[in-house]
Amino acid sequence: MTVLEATAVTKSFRGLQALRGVDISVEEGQILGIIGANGAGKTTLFNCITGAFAPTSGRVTLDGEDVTGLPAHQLARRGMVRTFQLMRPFATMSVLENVEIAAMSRGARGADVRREAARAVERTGLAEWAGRRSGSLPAGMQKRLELARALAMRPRVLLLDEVLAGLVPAERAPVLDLLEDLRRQEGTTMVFIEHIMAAVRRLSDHVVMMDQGAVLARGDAESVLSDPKVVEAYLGKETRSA
Amino acid sequence: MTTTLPATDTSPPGARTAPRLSEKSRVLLVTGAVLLVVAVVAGLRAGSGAVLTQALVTGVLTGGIYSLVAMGLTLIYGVLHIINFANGSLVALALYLTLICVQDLGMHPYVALVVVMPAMFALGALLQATLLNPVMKAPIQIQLLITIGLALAIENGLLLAFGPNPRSVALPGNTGVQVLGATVELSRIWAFAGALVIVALLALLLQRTRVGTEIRAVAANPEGARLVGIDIRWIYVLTFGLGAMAAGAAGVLVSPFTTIEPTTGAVFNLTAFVVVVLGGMGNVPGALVGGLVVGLTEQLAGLILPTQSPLLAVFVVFLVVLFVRPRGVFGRSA
Amino acid sequence: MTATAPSTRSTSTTTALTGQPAPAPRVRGALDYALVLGVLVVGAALPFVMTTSQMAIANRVLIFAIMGVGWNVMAGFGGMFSFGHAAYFGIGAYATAYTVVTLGLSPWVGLLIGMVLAAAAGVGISYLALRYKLTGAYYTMSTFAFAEALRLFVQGSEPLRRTVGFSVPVQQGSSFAGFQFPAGSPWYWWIGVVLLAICLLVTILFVHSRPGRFTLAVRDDDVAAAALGIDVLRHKLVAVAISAAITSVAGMFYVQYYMFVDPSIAFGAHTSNDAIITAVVGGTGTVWGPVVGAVIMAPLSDLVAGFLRNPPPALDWLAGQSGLDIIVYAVILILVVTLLPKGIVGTIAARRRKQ
Repeated sequence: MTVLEATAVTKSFRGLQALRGVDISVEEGQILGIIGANGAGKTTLFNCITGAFAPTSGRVTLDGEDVTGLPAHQLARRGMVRTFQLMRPFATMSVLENVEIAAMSRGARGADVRREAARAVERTGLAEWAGRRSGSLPAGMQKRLELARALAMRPRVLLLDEVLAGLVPAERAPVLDLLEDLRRQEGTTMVFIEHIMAAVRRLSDHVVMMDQGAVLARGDAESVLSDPKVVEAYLGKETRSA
Repeated sequence: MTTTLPATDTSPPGARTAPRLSEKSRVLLVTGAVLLVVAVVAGLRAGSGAVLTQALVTGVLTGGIYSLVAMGLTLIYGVLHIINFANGSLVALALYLTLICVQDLGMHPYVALVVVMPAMFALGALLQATLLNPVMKAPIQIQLLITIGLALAIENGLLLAFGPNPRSVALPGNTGVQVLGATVELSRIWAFAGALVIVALLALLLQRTRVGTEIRAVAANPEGARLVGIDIRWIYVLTFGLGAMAAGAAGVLVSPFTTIEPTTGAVFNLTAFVVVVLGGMGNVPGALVGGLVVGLTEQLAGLILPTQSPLLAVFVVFLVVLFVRPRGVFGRSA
Repeated sequence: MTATAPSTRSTSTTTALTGQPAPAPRVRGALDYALVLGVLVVGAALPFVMTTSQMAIANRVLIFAIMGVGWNVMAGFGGMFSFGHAAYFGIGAYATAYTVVTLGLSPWVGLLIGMVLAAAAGVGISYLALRYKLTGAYYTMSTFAFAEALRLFVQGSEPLRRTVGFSVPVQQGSSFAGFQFPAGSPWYWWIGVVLLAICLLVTILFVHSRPGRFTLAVRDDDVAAAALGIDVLRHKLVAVAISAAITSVAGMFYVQYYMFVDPSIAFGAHTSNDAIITAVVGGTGTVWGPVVGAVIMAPLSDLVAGFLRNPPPALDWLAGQSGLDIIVYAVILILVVTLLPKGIVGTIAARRRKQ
């Protein structure tokens, strides 16, 4: 069944059209990759879907229910969980406390809070950093913290905004392994924005390529990445496609 | 209205074009209409045209002085993004400097401008260079707390040096004159004229000089300004100096009709904040319009609600504007 | 370390993560509770070792401390830097004065009314400010303007006795219900210490509660908090309500102790400054910062006055002048803000964390 669907979503900022009618949908247990140059509207699409701001027009549904324009915190409670491209740790708290916030928000109580948080911290490879103040973590670890908090929310659908950016190649593999585990073991539905094409090839069941606020191409990874339009508009200039 | 300092605007370029002008004039029209209705109501309450005329003339003249006091505040906010809580205290300090010039040195009060303005510029520049420049990257509260500390220190320094007794400065030949059927002191007219001159000079400085261009560049985009080789720390020092100098000029000009006390600054602070927010923080000509609106509101409210403090009406207007148009009635539409 | 709200518990967590069964979670903020007990014990003993004039200073410390604790909940834990806490202090003071003088009821009734009114006013004005997304300088202006507008309103309001203010009528003897004791009675101090302890307990409980921890998350990053399902507006308003209610307690205590209040005492900008500066000097966002700040800042004027009674010859001209106390106060503020932006307790906590 379709978990998340966005239909004809537009967004304009003071006359500037950031999204011009975007459709995406993702089926249960599948992974949708979104690619496109900077400024193509990928993060704006995430923001519209996750309630950071309301779309100007269009419709967003979660499990068939219309959730368009709901505030972010209500969407998050319904299982629409995202990470941020620029890390947003609760800087005065330790890593574990950050994740505990997510677990508590999800509804865990008492000893479960610590247990669930510790599990998410461990899965994301942050165990030895658990007591560290999150504001002083290296960028790569903050990235994992984004992921750990999202996991503790037990997402129905997980939206990842460039979760690999800022990681050195050696750090990427464990994150990719984790995402694959998530899909295999928990059947987590995911949408991810990514510039690293190897990751897109490896994870995506479907790929959507965005350009100037609209979808330029969609399909499976291979067909999209070899589409001449995509190559011309994006990959031709893209240096990070390694 | 061309010297608007780009305050906290982060809008994408090209997003706003033609509609702005019309919107601005629309806002001006609406404000004018509201003031007109209020004036009519006030006139009916007062029951006499003469009282209303007196209130209107007094309102405009006082408003000009409010703008003058607010000028330094808005300039400093526009460039440094600091709300200078010490602005009122700087005015109070200038009042006492004028007092010394007139009483001890025998100067004419307006001649004191020649002494007070450079002295205040130097003080402002010094404060920025020593206390505020080191914390320009800190959160806004840190800078606010420092200006609060400065305000307390200046105010109580004056108390320590001059005692709590009210003083005054006499302007030779200061008599009441007839303006449009209302009686006003000559000194208020001079102060109003002085306010207009200073706004014009500031606008010229910002628009027509090299350093003015640099100040506007820093206000718009400090990092960009740094990249093109502007010494932004120096611009900060200069701007704070100019802001303090404007406060100094205000102090001299209002001295003939102001009771000089160490706490006089606090009174000026309140209205200056309102003026600045009404005019759009960082908008120099906006402060002029804001001042007029506050001056008129105060006078007309005095007619409509004689039992309440006229300042209360000003604050109600202030809170409403803050919530409805936080970028100021005449500021940029956010 | 326990003084900072989000405590770091590195040792216990790592064991939990290396597969061993998680240790039973110890009581969060145990040290803070112990310190509150310490405050009560020291507070109980103080009147036996200090002179009456020293106790007058101690009572001022109490008022500063309660105001600072109140302000700190909103600014330190809620992340909303208020420049108008005189509004809530003043509401507490005037609610008490009006209840006692005009209605002839117990000040404790006034306390409750004041807390409810202060919380309601805080929530109302903050809802507007947050709803219209006032940030930075504009938010500061709105808090400042609110307190000033209240002052002007009271000054023009006949039932609130305009600029004259209220004097609490003196009763004979001691009365707990009337919160009145003979001059110099230690009961003012003892009751005040209990009130401070309660305010501190509320703060500590709040910081470790679910809503409190969500509030801290909102303070650290409201966008991330919302993305984790936290209702940002609601938690900010909860912090405002608690903060305003605590600050109003200081107003009530002020009226009962000094038996007088007027609009400038209650709503003046200097009252807001006292709340801010107390907490900032001690350490914003730490439970104990406001208490430490109050102990340092509140006695200043008396210390300076005492110093000026017998000034060294070089400072002879200062004798009999006023203003020096506030200058010292301002200098301390500027020095702390510049050199120790985390305040005294905040800096100590950061040092200990680094070790």
